Amino acid sequence: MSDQEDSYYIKKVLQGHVASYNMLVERHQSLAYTLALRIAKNHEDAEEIAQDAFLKAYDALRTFKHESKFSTWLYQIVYRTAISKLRKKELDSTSLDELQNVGKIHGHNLDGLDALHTQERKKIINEAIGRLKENERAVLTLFYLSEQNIREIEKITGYSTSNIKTLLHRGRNSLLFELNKILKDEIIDML
Amino acid sequence: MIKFPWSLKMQKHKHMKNNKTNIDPVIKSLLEEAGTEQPSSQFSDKIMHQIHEKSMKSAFVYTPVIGRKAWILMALFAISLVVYLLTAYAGEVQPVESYGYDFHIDTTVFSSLLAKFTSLFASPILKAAILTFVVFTFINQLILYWKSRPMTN
Repeated sequence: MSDQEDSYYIKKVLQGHVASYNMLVERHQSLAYTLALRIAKNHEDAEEIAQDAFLKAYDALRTFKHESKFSTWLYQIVYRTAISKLRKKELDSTSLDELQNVGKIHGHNLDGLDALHTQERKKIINEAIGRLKENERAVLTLFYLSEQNIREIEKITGYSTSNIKTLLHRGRNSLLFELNKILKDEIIDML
Repeated sequence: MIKFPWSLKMQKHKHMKNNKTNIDPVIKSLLEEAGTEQPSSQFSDKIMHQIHEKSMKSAFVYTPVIGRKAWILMALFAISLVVYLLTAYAGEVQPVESYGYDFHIDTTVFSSLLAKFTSLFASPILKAAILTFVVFTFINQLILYWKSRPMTN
């Protein structure tokens, strides 16, 4: 998604062509919604968060100074809206225990994942992502899926560079750990 | 190596074969495979509907002819004018000639009022209360400004 195209639509909206905002929504709705879903873990809430974020972004569009990408600015709003909603509703009451053996899981064995159907694999990966901590889920999604760099993630989340690097490291390891766990459970269930 | 007997289609992550490989590409491919989620089909329509509703409302919002700042400036001007009149002519008797009659306006009443008013501020408790009120109002305004600040980008 080119930032120049975003700038074009932003300019149009600010000139009074409200309908151009629809283009910005269409271009970013998928990733904004995915980020909201990764934090809220609930489709209804994720949709509400993403909607609120787009409305807030529209209201504050005049304050957008083009110092960063529009997507970075938008995800910042999505992230903050999601976190504040999460805090209010206490959606994430079931926090995961700290992984004691994160360092030991490099010997991952995900061969079982190879054998699964595409849909089944997607489901399992999403389940494993869902088991991560909310900030790990958000940082991994921003880094790998929306391809934001660490400086941009810093702006979005408000975390320091070292915090983000730690979250990425822990998130990667935890994801593999959870995948292994789910795959082992599947085998046990089958037996 | 774990293999499911009911597997039909094999989609291999080549990085998974080698445990010593950097896990970064593995995670990237996993997240890409998990992909993005799509909101409901009415998602953008709902947003645009709300935006149109907002813009319709804002088109009919009452905007006063004289703004808040103008009222404040006018109030300040009026207060300063009154203070000036009270202090400049306090204690003097002003003769006013009209229709051939001599009227005298006794402005000593202003000086006594001013004296009473200034004596109010002689009390240290009142001084402290006013100062506290001003400080709290200032802090309150700062907090309100901080909360309503736009997002940085």
